Amino acid sequence: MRPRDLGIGRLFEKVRDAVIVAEAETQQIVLWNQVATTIFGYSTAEALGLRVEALVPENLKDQHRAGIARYAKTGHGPYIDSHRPLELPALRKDGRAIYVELSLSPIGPVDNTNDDKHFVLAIIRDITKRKQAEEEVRQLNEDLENRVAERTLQLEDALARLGKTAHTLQGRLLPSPLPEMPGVEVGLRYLPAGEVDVGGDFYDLFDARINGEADSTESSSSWGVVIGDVVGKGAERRLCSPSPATLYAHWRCAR
Amino acid sequence: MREMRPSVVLAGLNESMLRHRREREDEKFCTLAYVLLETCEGDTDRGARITVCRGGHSAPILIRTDGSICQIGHPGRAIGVFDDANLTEQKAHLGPGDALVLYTDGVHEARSPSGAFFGEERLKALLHSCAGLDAQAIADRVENAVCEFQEDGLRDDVAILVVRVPE
Repeated sequence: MRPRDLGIGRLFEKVRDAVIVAEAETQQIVLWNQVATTIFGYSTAEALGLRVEALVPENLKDQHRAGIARYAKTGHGPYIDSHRPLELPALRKDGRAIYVELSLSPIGPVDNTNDDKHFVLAIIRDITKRKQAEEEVRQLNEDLENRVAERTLQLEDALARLGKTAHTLQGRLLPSPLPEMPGVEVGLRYLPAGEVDVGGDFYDLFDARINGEADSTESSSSWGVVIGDVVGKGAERRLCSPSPATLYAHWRCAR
Repeated sequence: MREMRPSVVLAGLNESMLRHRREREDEKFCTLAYVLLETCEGDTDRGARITVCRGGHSAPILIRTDGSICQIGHPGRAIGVFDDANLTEQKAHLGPGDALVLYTDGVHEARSPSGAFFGEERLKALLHSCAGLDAQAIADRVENAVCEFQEDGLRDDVAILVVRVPE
């Protein structure tokens, strides 16, 4: 069996990728297979009257012209020298933008006539769907990141407000200002560590005479000075910390 | 005039918290130091008498005018845990210029970025240098020292309460 018996003379018609051959200097398309028609919408007859740049979107045309002109002159160019498949936007006959993956191969006449002419063979696949899927994933990720950032901001805001409430609450539970004690100075520094929970430390300073029993002629005075803290470690400490309100209720009862 | 003795007040608090714990099944307890301070009005030259009772809390530290330091009170046990919190009293005299410093464990358990504790010895050395300062200046100096020691921020509440008889 000879190659032509297998239809190898019309090999490109059997290939499942688009195959296009063009002359570099004129950009004239000289070979166009059936799959190229499927991808770009031009019939073979239409395509053979086209220049390659008809397939290139407007914003990339200048870059394309410069590249193919350089190849026509020197046999080299950034795309043609690239050994990896390229991913580029392209333009269909109906004006719809698509995305293609293509590999370019330099070719010339096999009989070495016209060997100053450069041709380019392009094998092309339509990857528009894959690109759309990638774009959707990218968009979803961006949306997700935006939402996470937004939620983080909201949470930080809520935490800040909670922290403020906790400090206000503790401020109310601790005696402020401390009473004046004749003949005794008082110094106080109090720093709650927690940003959210009400701290476990408490202090008080009060007239320790039992109500109603103070003798108005008595010249001495009695003061109760108290400081306290919650026992425990780490998270456990916070979880079982008595609220100052509870302690105060007990404290008032006891004294 | 009458006032309730510190050990009686703390025993009452202990009982009340234990009852609360049984009834509500919560695990709340605390340490505290209670100081009864008695003065003769119009006669501060004689200073004040102090009676200290501790329920498992760090001992209040007395700073004399000469810079000497002593801890007041027997330890006792945390309030709201044991039927008998082992509450006893210790008396001392606060003369003119003497100061009594009460604080919470956010002071001596403060940790440096390298993990070292502030500790009682550092606190005592600091208070030794505070003799002669007024009450607020002492509280300020302790808090500043703790903050500088920790550098990267508070891990625990810090409370410092100072009472002092002026000279």
